[in-house]
Amino acid sequence: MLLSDPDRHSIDRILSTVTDVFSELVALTGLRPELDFVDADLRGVDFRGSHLAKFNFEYADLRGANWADSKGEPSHYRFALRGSSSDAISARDIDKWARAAKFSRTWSERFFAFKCIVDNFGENYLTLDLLREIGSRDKSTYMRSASALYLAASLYRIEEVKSYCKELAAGSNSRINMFRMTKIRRYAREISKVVASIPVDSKPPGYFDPKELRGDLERIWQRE
Amino acid sequence: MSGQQQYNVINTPSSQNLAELDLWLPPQGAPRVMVPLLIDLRFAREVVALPQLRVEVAARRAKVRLTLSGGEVVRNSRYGDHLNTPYITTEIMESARKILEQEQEASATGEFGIAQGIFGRLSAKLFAKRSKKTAVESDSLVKVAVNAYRIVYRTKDCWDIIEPIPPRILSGKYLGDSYESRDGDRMEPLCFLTFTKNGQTVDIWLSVDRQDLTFSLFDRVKAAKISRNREAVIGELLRRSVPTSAISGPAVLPQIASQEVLLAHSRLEAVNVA
Repeated sequence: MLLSDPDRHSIDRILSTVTDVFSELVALTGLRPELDFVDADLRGVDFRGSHLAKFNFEYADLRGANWADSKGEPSHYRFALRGSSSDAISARDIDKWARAAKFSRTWSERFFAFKCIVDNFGENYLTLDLLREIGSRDKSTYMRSASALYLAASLYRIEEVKSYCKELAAGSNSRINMFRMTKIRRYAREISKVVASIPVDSKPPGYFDPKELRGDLERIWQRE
Repeated sequence: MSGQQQYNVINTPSSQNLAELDLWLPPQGAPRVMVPLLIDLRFAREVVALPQLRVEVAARRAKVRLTLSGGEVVRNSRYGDHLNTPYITTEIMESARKILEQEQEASATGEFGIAQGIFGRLSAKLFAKRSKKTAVESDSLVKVAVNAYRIVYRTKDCWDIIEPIPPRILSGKYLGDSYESRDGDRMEPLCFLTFTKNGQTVDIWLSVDRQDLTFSLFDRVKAAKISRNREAVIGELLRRSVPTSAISGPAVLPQIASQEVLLAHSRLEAVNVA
């Protein structure tokens, strides 16, 4: 048997209690919110009514979790997976993916690495900071534009724009992309016009104010 | 020399049923400079019955490591040591028509979520000529070509075992496939080894990271699956109760990380090669 003497009393308490509030269940077990949820698998957990201020969710997998009506922000969560995808990646792989997004040879490889980070880690300051780094150092206009637009489209769940960014990257440096850029710029212009007025609520902690993306989007279409 | 055993094989007993590692004796007469390391590696879900719960434990990723005491791995013989091609081919990913259809569908059923009105406005603004666009872009057919490997050689005689197909749980046989050759069925070795002296050994370790263990819980009393919140909390309890080693005997993997669980161990020893 792989398991050895699990805390049976704690398990009994969890199974017999009426509450399904995450923080209350944790309190019944003796697990330490400050330590025991680093790297935890919390996919699809419902945090409604949970007091999260003491929880350390660093490198945890929080994809698909419900954050509505949770109380307080976790103490640590920057490198937690909070995106909408379910790729088989670990939060500990963030360095590997960030390196790929910054240093891969072709811009399409860099874009798909950035896309993987956005899809799995979510739209938050981690991905925004990476976007800023890409914006300041990447020499490819395609990369800078597609990355910023993809992050904005992901924030608002505009699947067609996301798909178009992927098509642009799939085309790499083909001549057709010169024409595709016109459309990319139009998308960026339209989204940047409304981005300041559209709130994004019920998002996982760490989500940035969409207004912060306006400058990145404006830089795309102002190069027309 | 003929008829004399050249190698000893030890498969250390293990207390778990999650994975099985079997090391096989090299074929009779294998030259000592090209000794095939033949292992079978299988995974399955382990079912653990607790008083109130039935727990299914599965692994999402595992590691196979070699530690050599004398002897060497023959260059370019490591299984899964893929050479990166000097170029990649990427194809387009999705059909734009499919995306539009999904969006219209979501819109119709109100699945846009909390800010449906806002997204609606934004979408309307962006896709004012939606019907026309649907017609134009419906032709862009799509797929993506990506190589996803199950066995990947990393570095320092370490292999990762990964299941790329959802739900990405390791299940079935991953190493030890036989293939047809002119001489009949043969086994695909993990690598080839060179032994120069008697007493030289190679240890094979199978380990899994605690975070790569998944726990599915079933309430045996209520005969129902328990809520995701309860499952997650109990899962963390169980993850912490998994012992660092599931193998019996004194074998210890040097430099094992605190998060790792040792599942199986085998040893090949050269006894009569010199």
